[in-house]
Amino acid sequence: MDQWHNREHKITASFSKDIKEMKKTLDIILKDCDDVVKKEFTSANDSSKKIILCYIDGMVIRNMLEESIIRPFLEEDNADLTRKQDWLDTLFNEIIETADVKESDDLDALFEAILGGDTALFVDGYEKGLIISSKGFPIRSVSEPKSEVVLRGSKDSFNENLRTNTALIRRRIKDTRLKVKQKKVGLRSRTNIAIIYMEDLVEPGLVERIESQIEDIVIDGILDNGMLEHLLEKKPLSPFPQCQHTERPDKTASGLLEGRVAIVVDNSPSVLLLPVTIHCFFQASDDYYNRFYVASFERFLRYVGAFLSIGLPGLYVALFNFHTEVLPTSLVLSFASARLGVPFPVVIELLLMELAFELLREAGVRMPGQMGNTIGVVGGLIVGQTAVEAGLVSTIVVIVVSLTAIASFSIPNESFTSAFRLLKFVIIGTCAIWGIYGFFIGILGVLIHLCSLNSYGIPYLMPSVSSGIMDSNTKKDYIMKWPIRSMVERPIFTRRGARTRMRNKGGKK
Amino acid sequence: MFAENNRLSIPQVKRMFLIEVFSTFSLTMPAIVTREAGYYGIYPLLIGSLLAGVYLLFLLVVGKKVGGNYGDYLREQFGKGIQTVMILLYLLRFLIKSAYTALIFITLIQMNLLKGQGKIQILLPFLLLCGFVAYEGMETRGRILELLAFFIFVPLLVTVFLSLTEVSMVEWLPKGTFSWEKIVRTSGFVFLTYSPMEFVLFYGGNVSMSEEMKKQGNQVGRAVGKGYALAVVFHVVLFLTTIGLFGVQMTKDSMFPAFAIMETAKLPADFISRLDILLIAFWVFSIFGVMSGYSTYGMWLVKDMVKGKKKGIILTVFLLLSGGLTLLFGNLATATDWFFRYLMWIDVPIGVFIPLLVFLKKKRRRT
Amino acid sequence: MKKEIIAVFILLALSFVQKNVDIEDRNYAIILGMDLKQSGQWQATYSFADLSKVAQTKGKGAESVSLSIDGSNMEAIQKKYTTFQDKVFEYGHLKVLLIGREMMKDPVQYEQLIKELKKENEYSRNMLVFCAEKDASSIVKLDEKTTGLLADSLKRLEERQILSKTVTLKTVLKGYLEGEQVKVPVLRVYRGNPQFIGYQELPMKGQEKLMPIEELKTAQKK
Repeated sequence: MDQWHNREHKITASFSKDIKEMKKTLDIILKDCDDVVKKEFTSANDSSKKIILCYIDGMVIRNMLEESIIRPFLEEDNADLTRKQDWLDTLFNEIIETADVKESDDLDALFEAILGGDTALFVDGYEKGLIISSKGFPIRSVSEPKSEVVLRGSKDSFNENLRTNTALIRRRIKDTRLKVKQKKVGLRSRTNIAIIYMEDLVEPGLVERIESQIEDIVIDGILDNGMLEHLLEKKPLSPFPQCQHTERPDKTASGLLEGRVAIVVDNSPSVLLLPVTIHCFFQASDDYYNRFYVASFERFLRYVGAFLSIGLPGLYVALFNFHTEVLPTSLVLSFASARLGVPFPVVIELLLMELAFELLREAGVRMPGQMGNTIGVVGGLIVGQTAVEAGLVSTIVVIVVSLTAIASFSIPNESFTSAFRLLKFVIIGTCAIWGIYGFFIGILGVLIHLCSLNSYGIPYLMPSVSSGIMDSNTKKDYIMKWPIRSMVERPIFTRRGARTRMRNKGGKK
Repeated sequence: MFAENNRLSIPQVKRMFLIEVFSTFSLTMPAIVTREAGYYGIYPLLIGSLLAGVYLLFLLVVGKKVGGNYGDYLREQFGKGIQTVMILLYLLRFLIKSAYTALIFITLIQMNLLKGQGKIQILLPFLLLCGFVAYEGMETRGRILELLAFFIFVPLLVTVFLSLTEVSMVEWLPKGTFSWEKIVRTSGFVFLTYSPMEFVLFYGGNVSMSEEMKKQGNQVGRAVGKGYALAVVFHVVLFLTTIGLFGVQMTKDSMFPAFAIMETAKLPADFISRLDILLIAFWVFSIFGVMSGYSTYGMWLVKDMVKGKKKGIILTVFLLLSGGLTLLFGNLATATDWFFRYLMWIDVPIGVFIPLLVFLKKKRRRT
Repeated sequence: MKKEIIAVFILLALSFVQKNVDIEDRNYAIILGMDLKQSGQWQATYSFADLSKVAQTKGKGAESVSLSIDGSNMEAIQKKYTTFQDKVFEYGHLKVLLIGREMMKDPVQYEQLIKELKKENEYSRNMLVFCAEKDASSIVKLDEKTTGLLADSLKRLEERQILSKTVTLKTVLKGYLEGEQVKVPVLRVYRGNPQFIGYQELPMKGQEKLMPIEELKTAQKK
């Protein structure tokens, strides 16, 4: 806090009509900001008519400023106008050749506009300034999604620009009831966020609840929607995400059409969707574009993958350390003979391989481009094969770890998968102590935690639990995906009375 | 908004009740009925279950009269002093029953899964989970039991189905001397095993129903009735399967005869050699359902006497006492003998007496 | 306070970690043969899977080694085992029980055997049961020379040749306790392989004399 800023980090200086005073204020507040351009112009015809243009170099479209504001101002013949009060209107309506112009006497809003890439125009003798939309900062173009790759479906994804992202959503839903409410979060970052929803589909009170939560956030800066997600969650200590984030505009549009709310955060290449249930994380976009047999099979595989990613290492420890009688004798003998000479106990061997794999995975993410791809091959060869040949680990544990990793990659949502990556170590621990009993105790603990989670009032495990509440019928898009023609109703996210999404069953006569 | 209202749905009530009533004696029921009644075991099983049905009807009538929170109702009708005594009695009974259930649990785990591991080591994580779910509340417990019901009963039915080829129906035929005294006594034992039915008094006021459902009459009663009927059916199916597979003599001498069915069940192609090891783990879920009930309802009873932060401490004390009592019990056979005497002379009479008082006392209007 | 509780909990959990026996440090008993010696002592002959042979032969050679232990009952035999074997005895893979003829002839010893098998949950109730024409140990020792596991051969023999319902330990125990007649297949050694020769009625409770073997040609199809 200093003399120019209050506790909420807003500018406390007041607007001045005198352009010299205004310039002094600008110089003081934007001291040591060498990328800020403050240029004074004087009208050719009347030297008393002065303006100051203030913008940040690199964030504006300079050509547009020069063509639409500076040149018209300098070349315009306004000798006819003698009354000062008309001059601002003339400037506003006739001289400045750009559509998006606003007046403001709030210095805080004017500075915010400058820092956001707009240009502020101060006019000598006038109690208001003009905010001219001139954003031209560098943005990444729309590219393919990195983490939610599909074989069939659109290949565009969100980027860091809020307006691009809202535009990508608008392209898919051309409905006047698609509402976009903008807010700012972060006292210093003043990050723009947009809350997007379908007015007639969203559950009453949900948007207000989200808005109020966002308004209650007092933080200096929000740099990504991940930070916002953690601030909105009811149980931030849970390993499971309580908001879904997606890079895909089609997934967002689909969520909006189901009555969910999307939150777009500026500078964040993904969008938050809420409320969410655990089954949302198993849905991929191409489930809806492929034939339902294929989609159902793939979805079933993901559930199996989820179980394997959390449970397979633990089961391996439980069965091989405690309950070998469960397995066929020939299998046990084969595995036991493969372990002859391995110096480590089963649990240690498994933990070593799992940690090695996690290190490889992390290294692969951080390494740039080509090297990141190579690391998988090199790591697999060195860590896996060589370790087996050296007798450090047995072949079975390499198989178990590889299967676990492959299973975890089958789940479409990375933040959801991370929960399983962590919990598998907990399950390994309980199995090491209590065998198969420990496995079920561990799974039970996870299930109890999942049952205690809600996402804006919706049970996290729905429709596995509480399936009949609020007249919901979400089982047609559950583990098995029914054909589109039979998915006549929207799921529980949609308000009651607006659940019908299809009539005449898709054109079937 | 949608949920977060700490209420149960009707399907949850049905599954919860089924698990609570069926679980404790699910594996030992065939031994209980054949020990005295021998080849005529089916009769006391049916008679005892019928008596339990009558008791259930009585509890539902009392529950309807209470219409809401049971603890609050006791205070309103009897005053704080008598309410405290009644609540303490319930707590003590839950403690003892929870300890016995834990003993059954530990014995089976020690015999089959973790030979040589201590009782504390087996019990501790289990008690922690029961405490965890009780702490999270009624709604979480309702959801978890709704989910677990599938994993408890489907493997059970699969086991029975896989054993069907080996069942000999000849074993079902009664033979030997018929004794009314033994039939009546065994029917009494069977009736005692249904004592967890009193949990139905604690459901009232916690069930969420739509307006249309409310118009359709006593939904809770129907759900509970279905749960009871299913419990009886499962007991009968398990009994018949056990007798058909092993005969009366082996069933009588076995501690967990229904578990023995799991030992004989085999998957095609011998993919998993010993299915019982996996199936017993599902049974762990069902015992969890009962024990979490004791801690949840015990906690729920004293909720008004304890402020939010102390909820954890009360739960910890309850679970530690329950665990301590379990360790004191010692041998299961001796404990079972004493436990049934306790049920017969103390527990069930109190379990009938307090609701009877509630039933007979004229409802005092709230001022 | 919370940190202390978590630390105590972790220490407790670590103390619970059993001294686990790794999978390769166990002796997997596949067949059990029970004989009664003339001295009145029981002789248990086990066929164990030899892991080093399993690794070498990969199913194409002999994989087992047999071991005979004497004792007054099963408990004594198991105790004796622990005195000279470093590997933990693994019961969970016992597939076959062979009962010697002398054991069946003595009703007291036979009843004692039945009681001990019933008491121990470790003996799988699905274990196949055969009788030996003479000594069970001679048949068990064949496993040292057969390719693969003898138990698998006996299982195949039982499935293809033996026409009665499969006799498992459960059937034997139930028959004894219920007083039902149970017939088990009888085996003998023939050219280094077990040969099925007929059926033997197992002794019932209180039965003094053992019935003769029902030779194959006179055996009834069920």
